[in-house]
Amino acid sequence: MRFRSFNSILDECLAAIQQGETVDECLARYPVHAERLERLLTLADKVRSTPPALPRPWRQAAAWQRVHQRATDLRAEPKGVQFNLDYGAWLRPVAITLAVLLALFGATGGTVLAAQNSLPDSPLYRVKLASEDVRLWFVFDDAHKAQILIDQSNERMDEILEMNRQDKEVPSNVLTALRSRNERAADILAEHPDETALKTSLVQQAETQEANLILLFPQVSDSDRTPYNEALAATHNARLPTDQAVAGIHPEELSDGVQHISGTAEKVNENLWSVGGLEVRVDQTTIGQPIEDGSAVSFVVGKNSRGQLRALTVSTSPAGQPPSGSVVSGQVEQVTDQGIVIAGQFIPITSQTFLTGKVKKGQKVEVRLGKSETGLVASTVRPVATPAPAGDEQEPISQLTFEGVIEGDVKKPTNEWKIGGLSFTITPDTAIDASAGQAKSGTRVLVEATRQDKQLSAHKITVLATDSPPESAALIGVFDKSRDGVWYVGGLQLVPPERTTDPLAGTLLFVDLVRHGGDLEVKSYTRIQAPDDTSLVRLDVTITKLDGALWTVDFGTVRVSSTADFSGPEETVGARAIVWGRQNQNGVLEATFARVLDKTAVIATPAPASPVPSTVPAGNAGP
Amino acid sequence: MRAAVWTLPLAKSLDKAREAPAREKAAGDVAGRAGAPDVLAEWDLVKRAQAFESAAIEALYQAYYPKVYNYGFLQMGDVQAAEDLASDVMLKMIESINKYHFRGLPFGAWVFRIARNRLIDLHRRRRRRGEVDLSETLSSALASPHALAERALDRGQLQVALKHLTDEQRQVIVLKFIEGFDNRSVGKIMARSEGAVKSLQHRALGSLRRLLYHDRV
Repeated sequence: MRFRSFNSILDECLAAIQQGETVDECLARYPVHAERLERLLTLADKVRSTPPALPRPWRQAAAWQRVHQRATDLRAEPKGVQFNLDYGAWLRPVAITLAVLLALFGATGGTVLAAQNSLPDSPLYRVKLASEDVRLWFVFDDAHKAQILIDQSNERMDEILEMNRQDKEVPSNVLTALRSRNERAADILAEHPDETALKTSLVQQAETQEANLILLFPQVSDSDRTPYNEALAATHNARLPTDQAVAGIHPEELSDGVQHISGTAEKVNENLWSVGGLEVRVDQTTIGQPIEDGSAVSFVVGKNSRGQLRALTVSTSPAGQPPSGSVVSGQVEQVTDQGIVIAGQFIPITSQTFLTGKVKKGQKVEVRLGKSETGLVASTVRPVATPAPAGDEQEPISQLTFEGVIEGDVKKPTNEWKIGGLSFTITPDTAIDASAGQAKSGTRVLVEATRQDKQLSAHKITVLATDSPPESAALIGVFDKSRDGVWYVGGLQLVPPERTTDPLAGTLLFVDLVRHGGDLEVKSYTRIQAPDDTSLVRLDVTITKLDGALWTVDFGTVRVSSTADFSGPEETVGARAIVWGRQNQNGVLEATFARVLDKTAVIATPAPASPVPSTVPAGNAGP
Repeated sequence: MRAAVWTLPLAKSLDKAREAPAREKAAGDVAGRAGAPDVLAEWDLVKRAQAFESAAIEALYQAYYPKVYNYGFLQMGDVQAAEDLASDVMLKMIESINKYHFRGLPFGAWVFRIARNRLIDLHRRRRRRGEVDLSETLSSALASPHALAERALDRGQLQVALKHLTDEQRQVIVLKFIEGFDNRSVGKIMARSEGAVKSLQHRALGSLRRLLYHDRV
C-alpha cells in the first residue's frame, strides 16, 4: 500500500468536507488516524464558521469615495506603455535564463560561476541566490531537497560569519535567505517524520546558527532588525520537535531585543520562572535542560515590545563553574592560524569562535572565553572600540565600569535602572548576571557601560555578593580632564579631593566614590594604567583556587603580590575579580591592580577549570 | 481540489458573465482546470475594471473591502488599522489593476498578496514605533469546556490565539479557513509551495488546537 503522509490525508479531508462530505465519512476512510483527524477537522470547521468582523459602513463608504475618485483620475490619464509586472512573473524569465545558463555551461557559466563566491554585499549575490533556487526546481525528491536547503542554510551562515569577520554590516538579504531556507527545510521534514537523520542534521546546524545569530545582535542595524528577528525565530523554530503541535517563537517576541540573563531559578508557576528578580516565561518553545527550583541557570531571552521576557534557550551551570564566561581584554601580541597571544597567554581560536573583524597584531581586543573538549578557547573575539576623541563641543564616547546600589523597582519591565544615583539605559541586549542574588532595590551591582550623548547605556549588569551602604560607589574609567574643580572620568563628573594633583589625561583610574546629594565625591583613587602603557591586560574572572599570592582563574594563573594595588573585599575562592596585569620576565602574569568584587563565593563548590596552555603551539604565523 | 468561491454582490454582472459562452477561450480553459466557473466570471469583471468601468470597480470593491478588513482585523485586532489597511489595499488594487494577468488563479489571490505585503510593512512600522500590543494573555483565548461543543469559535478568542501562532501559521489559518482560498492560491499569496501550505495548515491547526483547548494533537 502506498504510504500517505498525515498532511496529505488531512488536506484531502478538509477539501472533501468543504465539498459537502461529513467529518464522520472522512474518519471512516481513515480509522487509524480518526482521533487525530477529528480534532483538527472539527477545529477547522469551527474556524470556518466564525462570524467575520464587519467594517463600519460609513468608513467603507468613505473609502469608496477615494477609490472612485482615483479610478476616475486613472480613466482620464493617457495610457502609456504598460509593463507586465504580475507578481512573480518577471522573475520567471530571469530564472529560466539562469537555468539555461546552468544547463548549457554547467560550472563554467560566467556570471553564475562568478556569483558563486560572492558575498551578500556584492551585486552578484542576487544571481547566486537565484541560481540556488533554480537548482531546487529540478529536485523532485523531498529528502534531497531538504538536504540541499540545509546545505544552503549552512552557506548563508558562513556568509554571515565572513561578513562579520570582515567587519562589514550583515545585510538583510542574507538574513532573509537564511530564514527561508531553514523554514523550507523544516516544513519539508515536518511532512516526512521518517527522515530522522535529516531532522537531526537540521537541528544541530540550527543550534550553532542560533548561537551565532544571538552573538551577532549588537552588529545588526536598526533597519535590519526585522529580518534579523525573523531569521532568529525561524532558526530557533527549526530546532523544535515536529511531532508536537508547538507554536514556535514569533519574531514579535524578539522585537525589543535578545538578552542573556543568568542566576538562580525560582519557580513562580508552571510557565513562569524568576531569575534574579526578573520574570521569564518558559514553555515548550524553550530549548534546554529541565529547570529545577533553586538551580543556577543561564537564559537567552527574547524581549517583546511590552518588556516581557520569553526564554529561547536555557542552560544549567555545572557545579563549580561560573555561569558566564571570563573575559580577557588587551593588546594582541601574536596572531597564528590557531589562536592569538595576549599578555603571553595563548588563546585558541576554533572554527566555532565568533570573530568580529580581522584580528591583527597590536590591536586591542576583548576575548570571551568558552569551554571546549580540549579546554578553554576563545568563544568570541571583538575589537575594543577606541574612545572617540573629544571635540570642542562634543562629548567623547566613554567606556566605564561602575559599582553602585540599585534604587527603585527594577522588577517591572523598564528600560532604565537607577544605580548609585545615575540612570542607566537598558539596551536591547543588556546582559544581566544575577548569580549572586536578586537584582532589587538596595543591591550592589557592577555595570559595564558606555556614555555617549549624555546617556549611559548598560551592556552588562552583575549583581555582587557584597553589602554596601547606598552612598558608596566606585568607578573604573579614563581620566579625561579637570575643569572648574570637576574631574571628568569615564564621562562622569566627579568632585576631586582637595589639594590633589590631577592625573594625566588618558590615565585609567579606579576611583572609590561617596555620594553627597547629587554629587559623586572622590574618596580615594588609584592609577591603573598610564596613558601610553599598552602592555596591560584586563581579566574579568572568577577565582577558582588560591595559593598564597597565586590566584588560579579561567585564564590561567595570576600572581597578585603585595606590590600590586588591591581593592575590594578579601579574595575568596568562588569570588569574582577584575585584574590588570602584564607578563613578567619569568613568563608569569603579574597583577598590577586587582579589584575583588564579591565578599562571598558565587560558586558553591568551585573546581579549577583547565587553564589555557601558556605556550604557543606550532603553526603558521598569521598576518 | 476546489478553488475559492467568491460571492460578488453584483449578481447582475456575474450572471451576465456566466451567460456569456464565448469568453476568452484560453482563459476559460485555464479556469476550467482550476475547476471554478466563478473565477472565470470574476476575470470578466476584472477586465471591465481594467477599463475603469465604474460598476465593475464598485463590484470588486464591495466584494474585497470587507474581506481585506476581516483579514486585517483578525491579525491586528484594531478596527481603525484594519479599515485603513482595507482602504489602502483597495486603492492599490485599482492603481495596479492593469498589472494583473489571469493565469488560472482567482483575482482574490492577487488582491490578498497586496494585502499581505501591506500588512508586513505595517507590522514593521508599528514595531519600530513600539505599538505592537501582545498584552492579551493566552488564558483569555482559552476556550471554556462548553465552547468545545459550540459550532463556531468566538471571534475574540480566535483573534488572541492567532497572535500566538507564527506569522505563516496565522496566514494559513486566515487565508484558507476564513477567507476560503485553496492551497494553490494560499501558496501564491505567501510565496510558498502547495506542499508547504499543506504542512503549514497541519501545524497551524495543531498549534491552534493546543492554544485554544490545551490539548496535544
